[in-house]
Amino acid sequence: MSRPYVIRVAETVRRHVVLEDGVEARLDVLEVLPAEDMTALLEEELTRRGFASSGGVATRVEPGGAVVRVDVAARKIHVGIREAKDLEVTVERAVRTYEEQGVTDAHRATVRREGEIRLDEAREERRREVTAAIEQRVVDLRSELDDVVVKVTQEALRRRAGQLGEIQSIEEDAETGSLTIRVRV
Amino acid sequence: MTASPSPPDPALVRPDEAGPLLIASAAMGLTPRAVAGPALSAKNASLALGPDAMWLLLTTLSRGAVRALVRGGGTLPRRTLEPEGRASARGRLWERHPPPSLRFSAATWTLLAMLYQHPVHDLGRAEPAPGLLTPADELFFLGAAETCAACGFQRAVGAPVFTRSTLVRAAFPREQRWSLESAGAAPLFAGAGAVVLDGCRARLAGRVAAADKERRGAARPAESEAIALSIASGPAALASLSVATGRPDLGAFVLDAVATILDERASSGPELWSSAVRPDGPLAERQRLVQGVLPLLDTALAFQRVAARARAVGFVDDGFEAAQATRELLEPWLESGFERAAAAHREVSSFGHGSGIVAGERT
Repeated sequence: MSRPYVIRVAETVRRHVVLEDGVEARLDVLEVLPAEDMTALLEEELTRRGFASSGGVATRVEPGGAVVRVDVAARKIHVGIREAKDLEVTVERAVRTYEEQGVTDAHRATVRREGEIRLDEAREERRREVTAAIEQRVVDLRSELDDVVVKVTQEALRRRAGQLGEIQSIEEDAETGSLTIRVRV
Repeated sequence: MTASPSPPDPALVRPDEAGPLLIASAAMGLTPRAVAGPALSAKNASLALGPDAMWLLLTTLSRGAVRALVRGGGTLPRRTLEPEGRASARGRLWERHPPPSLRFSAATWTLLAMLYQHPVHDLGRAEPAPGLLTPADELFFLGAAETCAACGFQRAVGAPVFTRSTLVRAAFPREQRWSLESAGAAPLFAGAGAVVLDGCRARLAGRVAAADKERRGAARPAESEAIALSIASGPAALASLSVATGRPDLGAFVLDAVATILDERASSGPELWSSAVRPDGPLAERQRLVQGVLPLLDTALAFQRVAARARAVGFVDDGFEAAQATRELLEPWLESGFERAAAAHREVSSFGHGSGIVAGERT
């Protein structure tokens, strides 16, 4: 009668993984002045808030790693994270066998498959973390973006009023963001 | 095969002739569509009709064509945009147009034969015959597709036999996914084709609204995104072509469909935009799913630009009559319709709570 053997099989699965997620939106900017003037105002305001501009795109890296990119002329904003990393999982299993030749390719394949499943799970776990980080950043950004739009619109209105005539007074309600400009035409 | 020269009295048909006649009658809306189910699911011998049965078939097609146009939206008083900036008087379809010359070609016979000979779940094996469809053929193809769907054989509408029909493509974007192009759609923007498209407005609007509901209700993200792409390259493309051709009246079925969608949005939350959105899924995927409605909203907002151009045409300018008819066409949308569409567009294009893409405030 043959005897059973218990063999330890260890397989390491490595994969280079690129994780990427993000979301895009339009900035709803009222075109009070000609488009290129509004673009310039938007770029100025974003620069004031720590964005670096290059080639018409304003970029800022957020705490947590999310990157905010604004295509200023197109009024489009993208918030995303892209990371590339090497993931590695080692799986060790005790395999019972009646064969004397030791670890076979079939044993290794079984353990390797388990390793790949665990790697997929690890990847998905990291993806959820990335998505949650972006989502948290977007929630925090909403009010800042609203503020950017209000500031840009107010400045555009001031300049437009100045083109129409002599500005007599400007009253701003900081709470509501409303602006009252009196112009002598 | 030839038809009887005069109405047979009484009209007697063989048992093997009853099946195809029933399918034709259902396709043309003269018989409740569900009644054709058994005839569609059976496998039969070659289609052969005697003189009396042929007379009945021709009568079914001609009467059914009139009925289809009347019931498909032809009873609503409207104006037709005509060449050289003119427009018809306001009236029902038959008051605005002389009777169109509707000729059924061999394509209708071929489709009827395929529906009769092949079990409907096996239609995928039947190749479509080559050639263009006449406007009358388009009516038959659309009715046949609707009959298959009504009998529970919606998947059969995706079979190659239906791929030649522009109306089927516009009405069934979930099943037919090829891209509509101007050359194929052009016959429906003039002459008898334009009368047929005009008379199918209500039918197309209902089917496009239903297709978007299927997109929103699809459980798998890939399926929802595929339907969205198909809506963009099918019915939305047809409506855009109507605007480009100077016949926005023929693409207004999209406005009717979008009105239905916006009415549903008014009474539900952001979850309306797609059932496939996973709260813990990738943000990019959630955005694609929610924004699947954009092709229809973009097309609706294209009509806003049409309205703006029409408003700018002065009394003494060329094309004033057509501009007035266009404003009348878009009147239901001018007060708040376009603003609702624009608001929905902003909602799904933003990070706001209304889109459902990004969760609410976190502590």
